[in-house]
Amino acid sequence: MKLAILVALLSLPAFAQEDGGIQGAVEVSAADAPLVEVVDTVVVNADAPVADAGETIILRAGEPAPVDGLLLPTAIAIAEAKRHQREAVENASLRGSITPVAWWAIVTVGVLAAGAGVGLGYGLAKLPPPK
Amino acid sequence: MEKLLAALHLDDPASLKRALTTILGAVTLLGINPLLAKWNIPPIDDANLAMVAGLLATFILQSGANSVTAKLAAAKAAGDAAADKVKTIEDAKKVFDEVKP
Repeated sequence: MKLAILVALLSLPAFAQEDGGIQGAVEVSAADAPLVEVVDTVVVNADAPVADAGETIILRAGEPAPVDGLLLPTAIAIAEAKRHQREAVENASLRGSITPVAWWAIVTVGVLAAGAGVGLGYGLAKLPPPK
Repeated sequence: MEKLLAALHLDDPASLKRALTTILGAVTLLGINPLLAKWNIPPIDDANLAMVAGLLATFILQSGANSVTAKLAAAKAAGDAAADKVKTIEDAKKVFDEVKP
């Protein structure tokens, strides 16, 4: 199998390593492991196609990668988890501020029905008395 | 009834205030001239009614904007607090487990 390591987040200076190891998220195939240098404790991202989410793996030089998938070094995994958590809580908080469409429909129908009733009553009251 | 009020956010005092202002304003603006006519008092000019309606609308919009700002700030604070709790790789794993499709 062809060697293929995709370094997706190499531009993040905060995670630069002195020993020249792989930084950031790496998409790695089990067969491509010989290219993997010592990186870090990594956690498999939830979007990984094969690996179990949350699995912690330590890669060392020359060791085969234990799974196919997207691997995240610890610092990035924590940052990603923070982002996920922040978005989830913010969305949940804001979702509670939105009135469901069903309630708007009920209120709209109620207002229209009340308006029709008042209009009908007014019209009937204004009718000339039968001769 | 409580569920309906909660769904329409009328359990929120700021929202209830806007709703009451809207209803009372509409009733007043629509009913004031017929009432004055009934008492043989000259009606209020349309321009004056429009000015009052504009003031009410301004108040309601401003109050709504304040509420939105407060809710966004509260959501951001809640999100930041939740994110701050993720400190270790174990915490991160739990989060990934929760968002796993």
